[in-house]
Amino acid sequence: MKILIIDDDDIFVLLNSKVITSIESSAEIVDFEDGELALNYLHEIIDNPNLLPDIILLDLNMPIMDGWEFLAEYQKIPPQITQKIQLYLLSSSISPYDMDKAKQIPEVTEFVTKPLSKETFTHIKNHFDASYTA
Amino acid sequence: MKFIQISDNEVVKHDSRQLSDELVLDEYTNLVMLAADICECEMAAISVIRDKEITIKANMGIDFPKIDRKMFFFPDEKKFETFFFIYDIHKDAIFHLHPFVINFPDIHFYASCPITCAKGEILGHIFLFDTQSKNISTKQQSRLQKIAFQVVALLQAEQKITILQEKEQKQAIFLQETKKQRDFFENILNLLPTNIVVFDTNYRYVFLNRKAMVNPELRKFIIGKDDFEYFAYRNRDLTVAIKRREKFEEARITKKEIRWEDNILDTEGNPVSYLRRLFPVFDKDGNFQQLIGYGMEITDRKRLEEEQNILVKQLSIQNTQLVDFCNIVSHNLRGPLVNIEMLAKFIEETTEEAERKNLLSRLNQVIGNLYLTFNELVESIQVTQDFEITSENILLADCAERTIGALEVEIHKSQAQIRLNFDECPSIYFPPKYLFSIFHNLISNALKYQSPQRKPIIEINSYFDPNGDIILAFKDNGLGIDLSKHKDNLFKIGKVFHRHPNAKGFGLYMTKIQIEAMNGKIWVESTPNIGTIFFILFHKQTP
Repeated sequence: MKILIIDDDDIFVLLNSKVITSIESSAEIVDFEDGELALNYLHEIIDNPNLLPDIILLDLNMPIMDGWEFLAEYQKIPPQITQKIQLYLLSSSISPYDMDKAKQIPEVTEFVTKPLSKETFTHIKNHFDASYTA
Repeated sequence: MKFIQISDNEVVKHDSRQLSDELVLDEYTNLVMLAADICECEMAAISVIRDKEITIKANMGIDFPKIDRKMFFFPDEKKFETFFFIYDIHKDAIFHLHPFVINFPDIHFYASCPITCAKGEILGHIFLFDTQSKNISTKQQSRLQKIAFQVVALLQAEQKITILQEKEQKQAIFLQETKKQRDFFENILNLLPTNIVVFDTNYRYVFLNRKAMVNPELRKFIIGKDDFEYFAYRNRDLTVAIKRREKFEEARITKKEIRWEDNILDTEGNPVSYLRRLFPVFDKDGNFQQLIGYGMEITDRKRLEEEQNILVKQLSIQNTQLVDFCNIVSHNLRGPLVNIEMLAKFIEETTEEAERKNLLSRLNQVIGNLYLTFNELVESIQVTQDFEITSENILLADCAERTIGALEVEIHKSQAQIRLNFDECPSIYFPPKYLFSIFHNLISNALKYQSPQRKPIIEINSYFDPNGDIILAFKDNGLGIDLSKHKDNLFKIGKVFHRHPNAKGFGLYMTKIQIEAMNGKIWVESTPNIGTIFFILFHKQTP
């Protein structure tokens, strides 16, 4: 399972990785500190489906290119590539405005409020396994 | 429409009826005397049939008793349709029973001449009486006839006078009513706290209420004159009259009510605002009739409106700050708290000593960051809540020198050139702490986001804008910002647009808050790879 974490908070990325590997020890985690770097990475590997992530965990509040700006660019990637990827917004935001906005974007699988607990990641993993076998 | 001008003495008060009645009565008396004289009789009378009543117009030597019509024309009315006389009524077979004979036993002679109008209708009679029996010659009879014609003429004249008198009376009542109505409406128009003016089709004044023209002599003078005549008389600026004439024409041509606001100076030189309206009036055929002007002073309302606008602006700024603050709490405070919570959990769970130490050091790092963010927030709240911060007159050159001194190391390292020009406006009245913070943030930003391709040049100028407000501009030749993408977020907390180890996104947020707390404004112009200019507006200074 390949997971792409986009978050500028390095401690949070470290902790998240710990949670993820405690559930899925074989998970391959790649992380970027802002949307622009992550987008560049996606464009680099776009022709190589084996390298594309299965799950993206996207933060909202980031420098240079924040989560919303990243999503606007992400929507421009051909759907045959993005439709296999499950994208979760993972933010410390508890604002209903942010949650409503996320619901309007079909590419977003779910809005998850930080922290990423073991239970939440288990839920994400189950969801991924279900869609994978189907 | 014309206003009928009536003065009190024009209202008819004297009674002309009395005068003409006396004159007419004299005429009847003269005719009676003439008739008696012609027929050589001692007594005569002229009677008139008015409806069912018989009225004695004039009599001579005899007073008639009150008797009804039937008895008056004894034996029957038919007999009285032509002239007749009775030589001696006492010897007449029928007439000796006439009530007159019983009432006046001395009377022997009796004659009756009908007064007939042109249509043949009998209007009355001339009666003649005498104590001596006698005859009436045809000559006397024809003369009597002429007197009868005179009576007809007199009756007609009397009727005409009556009609005229009635007309006169009706007119007097009408004029009184009109005056009452006019007084009623004028009273209302004069009591209204608005200006009301009526112009005729040539834009000449027809009416002004008291509020529109307080001075009664001028109010009288202006009637029948137009603005040009009035303005010339009062030595006023004729361009105002020209502008007003344009409004009049506009209302007449568009056939619609027009309204505008006039901001002028009153007689004492104070600014006053008027709401003006013009209503063109047309008759049912669409012909232009008159123009009604209406003016209301709205100085107070305007001032309130302006105060309200300022309040709304302040409120919307405060609302934006509140939304910003909610975002800050959500992102900048909750984030570190989540980290602390997770770290604590991991520390609890771990069995390895080395891992535990590693996690603890991370925990300290997060706590340190949280403290920093927290302090910054407290600082920004203090700015928005500090209503008692005092302003001072600060020399911009001093403030710039102080900032340059504090940033000496960075400036030296990047070999930056800083050019100052505060000649036009050398000082600003502002809280020193804020101004120093603004200089520090903007200069250090310019250094931080310098272009790697050229040495930084920072230009700081102060000048006055056309409104008399002070503008302070910070211009650099650095990386620039793509405003099409970042315009909305530029001054928000935690927004960073360049990968730089010290970019935290707090400086511009703080700068904006400090400027807005003093009712100023900040905005930016920028081109990527060319540079950025920050403009700060300080409102008109009243030290």
